Amino acid sequence: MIRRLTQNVIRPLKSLWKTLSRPAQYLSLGTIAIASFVMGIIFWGGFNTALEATNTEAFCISCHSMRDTVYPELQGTVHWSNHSGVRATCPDCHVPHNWTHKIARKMQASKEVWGAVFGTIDTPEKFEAKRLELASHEWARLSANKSLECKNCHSYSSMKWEDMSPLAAKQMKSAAERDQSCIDCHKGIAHHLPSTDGRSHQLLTAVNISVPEVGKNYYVVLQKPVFMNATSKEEAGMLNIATEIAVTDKSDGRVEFRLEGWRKRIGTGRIINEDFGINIKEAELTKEAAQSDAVVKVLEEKVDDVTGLTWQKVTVDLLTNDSELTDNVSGMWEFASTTYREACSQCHSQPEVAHFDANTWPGMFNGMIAFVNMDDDTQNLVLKYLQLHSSTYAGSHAQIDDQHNQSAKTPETALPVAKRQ
Amino acid sequence: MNDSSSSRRQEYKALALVIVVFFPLLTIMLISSYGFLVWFSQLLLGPPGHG
Repeated sequence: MIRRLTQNVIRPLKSLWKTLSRPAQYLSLGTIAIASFVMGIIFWGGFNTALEATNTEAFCISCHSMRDTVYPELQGTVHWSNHSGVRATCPDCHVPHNWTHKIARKMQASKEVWGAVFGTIDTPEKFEAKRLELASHEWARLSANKSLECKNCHSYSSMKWEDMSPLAAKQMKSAAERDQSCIDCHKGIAHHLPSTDGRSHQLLTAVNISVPEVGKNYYVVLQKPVFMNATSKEEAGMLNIATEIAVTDKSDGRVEFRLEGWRKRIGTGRIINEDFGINIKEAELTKEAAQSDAVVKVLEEKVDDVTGLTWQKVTVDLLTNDSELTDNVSGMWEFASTTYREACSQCHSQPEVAHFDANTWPGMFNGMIAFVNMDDDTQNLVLKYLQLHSSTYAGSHAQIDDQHNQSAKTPETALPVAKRQ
Repeated sequence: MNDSSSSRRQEYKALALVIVVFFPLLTIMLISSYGFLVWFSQLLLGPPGHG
């Protein structure tokens, strides 16, 4: 064994070293120099060619996890096709262009090879589960280098402010002053944002769910369907999130409730709002329910001088499932307040909630919602939070609370009627 | 003849081995370890900054 090793390995190496360590006897210095020089060129050319080959889109999507997930997502965006015909490929954004960091990134890819070999992310489901983690890595990288890879093409100094909308120009100029990282505001510009569908489930754990009792008031924790009677499967509309209802009766799995609100006397009057002249949605009814006298009772009518529209004060009697109701609405507002601060401060300092009035917030909110990823329930909750804490209501909280206490002390109404928070 | 031609062959073989196989492999290993070193330093010090 040892003899064979000596014979096959050590002896040739020894003789190789002997040849290399003494001056060449037969090869001219010129031959050695030319051969080394040419090989040097061939090697470095080959090395860079190979490096470039790993820096192509074809190479990136040769792996299934890229081809079936992030690649099709890119194809729906402006970075794939646009009027100028310039497009970004994977490495343009995801591989640093500077040599040192490029090589470091290539070595990092060994982790991706490991993942591909052992199937860490070999199904779309596994990819979705990892998406937030993977996106966070890229976000951290782009935050640290102030979106260097974006700025290889886009530069603040070449932006033509006149061509932007006034709002965009204002935001962009202040970003340019601070040389802000592009992804501070433009996360999700080339791929889907990680899903935050878990938000509303967090909401369910943030408040305690109450078992409804007859004669008490509760708030809707998640948007829920309403029904005309105890057994109907056909939905008669939807209750909006954080809407206060007064439970009037209970039956198997469902509660009968009364909702008080205002609606415009135009069309079919399907939208029930919290307050006179203010578009804060409490519920959206089907046409059938909205026009049924058994469901909707008109208490009074009043003309809104601002719009000239007639509003009706109404009560709505319907049924809903007895799940997802709470008697603690303040937990929901805390959740909404935190979500508002976290989501909106990603891009800009969020305005004071009382900076706008209740009818201005929906337009502001819907204009910005495309920049963040909130599920439907959370969107509705945050909007309602903003509206109910807007300048329309700011300062009148104490008063409302007083009214609330008074009406609680004087049981003059037969039915408990939902009061505005 | 035998002796000189065999050592001539040995010199060609040695040169070829060194410039075609040994040095390229060594270079790739050096560059890789440099890359890994930079990566590990990034793990410790955070991703590279700007400018």
